[in-house]
Amino acid sequence: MSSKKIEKKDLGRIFRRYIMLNSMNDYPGQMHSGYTFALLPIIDKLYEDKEERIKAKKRHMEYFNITPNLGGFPLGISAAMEEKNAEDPDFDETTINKVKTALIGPLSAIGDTLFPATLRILATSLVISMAAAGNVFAPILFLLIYNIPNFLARWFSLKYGYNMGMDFIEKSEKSGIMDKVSYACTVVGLMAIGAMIFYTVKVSTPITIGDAEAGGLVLQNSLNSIMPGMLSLGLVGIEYWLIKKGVKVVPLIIGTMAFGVVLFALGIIG
Amino acid sequence: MLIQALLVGLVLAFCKCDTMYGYAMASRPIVVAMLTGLVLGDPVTGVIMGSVLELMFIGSFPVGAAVSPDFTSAGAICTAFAILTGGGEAVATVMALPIALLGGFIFIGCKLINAVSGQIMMRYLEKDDSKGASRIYVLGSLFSGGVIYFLYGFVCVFAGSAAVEVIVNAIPTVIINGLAASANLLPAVGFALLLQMIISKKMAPFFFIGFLLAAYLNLPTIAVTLFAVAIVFVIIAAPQRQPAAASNDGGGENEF
Repeated sequence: MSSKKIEKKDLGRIFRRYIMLNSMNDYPGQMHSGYTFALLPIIDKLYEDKEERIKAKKRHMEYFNITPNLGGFPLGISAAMEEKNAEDPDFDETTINKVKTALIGPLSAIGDTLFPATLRILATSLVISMAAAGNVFAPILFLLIYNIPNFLARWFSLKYGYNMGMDFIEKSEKSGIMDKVSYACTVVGLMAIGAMIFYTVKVSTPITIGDAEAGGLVLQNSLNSIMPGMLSLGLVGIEYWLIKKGVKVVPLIIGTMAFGVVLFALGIIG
Repeated sequence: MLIQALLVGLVLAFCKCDTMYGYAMASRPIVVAMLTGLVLGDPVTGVIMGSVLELMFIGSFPVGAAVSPDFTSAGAICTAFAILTGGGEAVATVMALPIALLGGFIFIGCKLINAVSGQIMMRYLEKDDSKGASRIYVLGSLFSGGVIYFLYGFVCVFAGSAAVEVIVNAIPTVIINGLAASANLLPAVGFALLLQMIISKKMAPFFFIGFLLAAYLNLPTIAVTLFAVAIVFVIIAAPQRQPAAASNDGGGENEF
């Protein structure tokens, strides 16, 4: 029986390579090369038999994709399973890729809500007015707000993934922690997006009915007295509806710009 | 122009290699534009362009296999155009989409190059050569993220600045102003994309609460966020029955 075990410093080695997880994504396999790159040092350490070692390295070159910030979970779990596989000849090695593949869906669903959607939007919303005013510290603050949680999530996901190993899926389902985290992120994310829409989507109309100075109707003022930002909210609603209808992003951006120019030229928006 | 083009190329390459240091969001326009401004000697204009471009591309981030406009290229190259031609926000806005789309197509090419690097890496793995495989991974990443985008930034700024000035001067003022006005509409596309990803019927009231707090009470975004965190704690700490009641309250405010 081999006495080679993964120690904390080995997790550190995975971590240092894991910060490059998605730097060489490609079409068929997405993050497969990065995933293999991250696990190479521990595979070299764990397997004494050359054939087994090569098999382990090639195993991870199969398709993989995940929100990079939570990639530590599957990496830790894979490390724990490789460790078990190296010392137990009866271990069913096909489970290594099965477990990791099973994590892609649920972890990416949480991760994409948590990092690119919620945390990035929060960081942006906190600094965007500073940036618009020309404060050069805004981007630095932005990076700090995003990256402290980013790197903590990376390290702890790796650590917990390794400690829980294969039981990860079962345990996290039982405690319901994933659902709670996902719920919390959605609430915070949605409220922040709601507020940001009011401050950043700027649609207003210069239309006046009659002479404004002689007491005519200034349409924007009337709209504001009902609900400020009503046109912005309406525009987001229209875009949302179009996306639901299956309109692709690039045509949507071009269409919105063209629509904006036409409305501006007609004097409907200003 | 040569020196400036080289510097902008380097900034773009550095920021595109974001994925090599923890996907730290250095690839976002707000960061790229400030760095571009810094190397061109005008960080303040840079950060202002960054805020404009960031909002234009707020909803786009590469998720999964989808191809999206490359906001990093737009952040570097359009900021450089804005500063070098003296055209400011109008130039950045007009050029942002074409530059980002071309950058997105280049990204498809990069992924194909990465696939080739992956094949080479596989050959090293078959020979049990971890060092060789790791070297291929690092070099492959540097090539597709760094070298290619360095060239893109360099060529655009070196060859393009004069042309951009001519084009922008040739466009009628009403269209330029219209494009600047419609840049204020574009965050709507971004937010709609984000919403599409995380909203559900049950959660929709929270979105409206956030909007209404800003619209009627003029609470800044940070205040709304802090309220949101407090609400989450109340809901999660409360017994099971409570979440449903809380959503109903939200719904009521929405109809109001």
